[in-house]
Amino acid sequence: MSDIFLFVIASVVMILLFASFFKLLILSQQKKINYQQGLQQLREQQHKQLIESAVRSEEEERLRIAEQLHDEIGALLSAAKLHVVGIKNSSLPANEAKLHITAKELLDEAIQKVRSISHNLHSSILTNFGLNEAIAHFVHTTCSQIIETTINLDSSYTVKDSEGDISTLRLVQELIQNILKHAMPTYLIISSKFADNQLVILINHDGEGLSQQEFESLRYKTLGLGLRNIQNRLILLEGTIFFQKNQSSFTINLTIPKK
Amino acid sequence: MPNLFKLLLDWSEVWALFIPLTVLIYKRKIQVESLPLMLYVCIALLLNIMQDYIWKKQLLFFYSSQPGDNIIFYHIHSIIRLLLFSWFFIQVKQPFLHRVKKTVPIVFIIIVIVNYGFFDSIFTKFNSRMLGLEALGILFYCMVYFLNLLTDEEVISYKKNATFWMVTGICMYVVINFPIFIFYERFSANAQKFAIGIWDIHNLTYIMLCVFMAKYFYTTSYE
Repeated sequence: MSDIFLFVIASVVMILLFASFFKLLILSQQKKINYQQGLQQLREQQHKQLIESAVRSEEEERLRIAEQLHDEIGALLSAAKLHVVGIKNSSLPANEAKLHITAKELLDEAIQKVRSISHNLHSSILTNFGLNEAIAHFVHTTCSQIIETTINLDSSYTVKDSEGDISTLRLVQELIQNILKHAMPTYLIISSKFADNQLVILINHDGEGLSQQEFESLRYKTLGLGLRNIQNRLILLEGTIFFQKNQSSFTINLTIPKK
Repeated sequence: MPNLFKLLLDWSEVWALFIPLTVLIYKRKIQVESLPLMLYVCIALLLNIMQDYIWKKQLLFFYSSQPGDNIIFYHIHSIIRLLLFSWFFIQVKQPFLHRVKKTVPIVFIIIVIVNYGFFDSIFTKFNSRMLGLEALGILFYCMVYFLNLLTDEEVISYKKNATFWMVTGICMYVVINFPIFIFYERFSANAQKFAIGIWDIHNLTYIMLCVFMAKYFYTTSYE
């Protein structure tokens, strides 16, 4: 009986010791996992902060250049135009009159271009009228003369998020510019839907677009600034992008959470 | 039904080995690190078939003191098990106490030779000391493995780490069977029915060990 008792005690002790040791092992692994997850979160936070400051610097620089272009170069060009317009064309010899007309046309074009570049760099429409208007204005000035465009933006989107809206606008601008440059479409449809605190922007075209697989391979291989910009802004906005190849068209789906 | 269960349990040391063997045959793609355990499955199967057959048929051999004497196979099995499991643990890429791990099988062989040469008979009596020593040796390897996991900064994925499954199975087997091995000699002399009962527990844990071994072979085939 004493042997049996000893045996039972020994078995119980061995099993308890093993169970405790195993539990300790599981707990230590869990601790390590939590620590690594915490580290990963910190790294992502730091990365996001770096992108934020880079994007903010970029926007400040854009604003500075836009203001200087408009206030200084634009003003200079307008003053030059006034002086040129002040010369009476009728008092000039025939060949000089032609040069005078060309000069006026060139100045008009330069003033228009400076205004356009200034607006592209920093859109006051975004600040004054909101994201939908800014997108519509951009599409109208960039594409509507070249291809058929349709704009159908959700008017229920009235969220005031200046930094987020700037990044969203830049994303849309970058994507549309890429489509015009590389895809050669004949039509472009931009639509949006705002529901459940998510803004979904769809860009549909019939040119030579990208599939999701192609985008994934390009985003890590290419050194181009465009895709890098898109990635950085997506990280900042905590949004997602999806490239879809349909039967006769391509769709880009941008999903951006809005708080 | 209880007779069928008893029959299954009595032969479990044989049929349980077919579980990892089936995985080995089905998967085919096995890594070099699995060689010690592959060998163990094959050798253990042969030894267990012989030991159970001799006991069931009550055969008498030249070494036997009585019909059905199969103790020698248990002793040989124990020695082979420690040697092959030592090989397995030495192959595990852990620098912690690596030299000590290599010394254990050498020390064990010396003890086996001295014990069976001068003190106990390998043929007749169940040797609790040697089987207990074998279990202790394997337990040492398991503890070294787990201690290394505790101190290592790397996080292991339990689902994908085949070695973790194998060592856990081996550890559970030796933890439960260490007291059984130590006390079996006394119980077989003084309380035979209890001895048979606790050997059934050994057989159940042996099935569990074979299941863990099958899991190990299955997981290594995907690594």
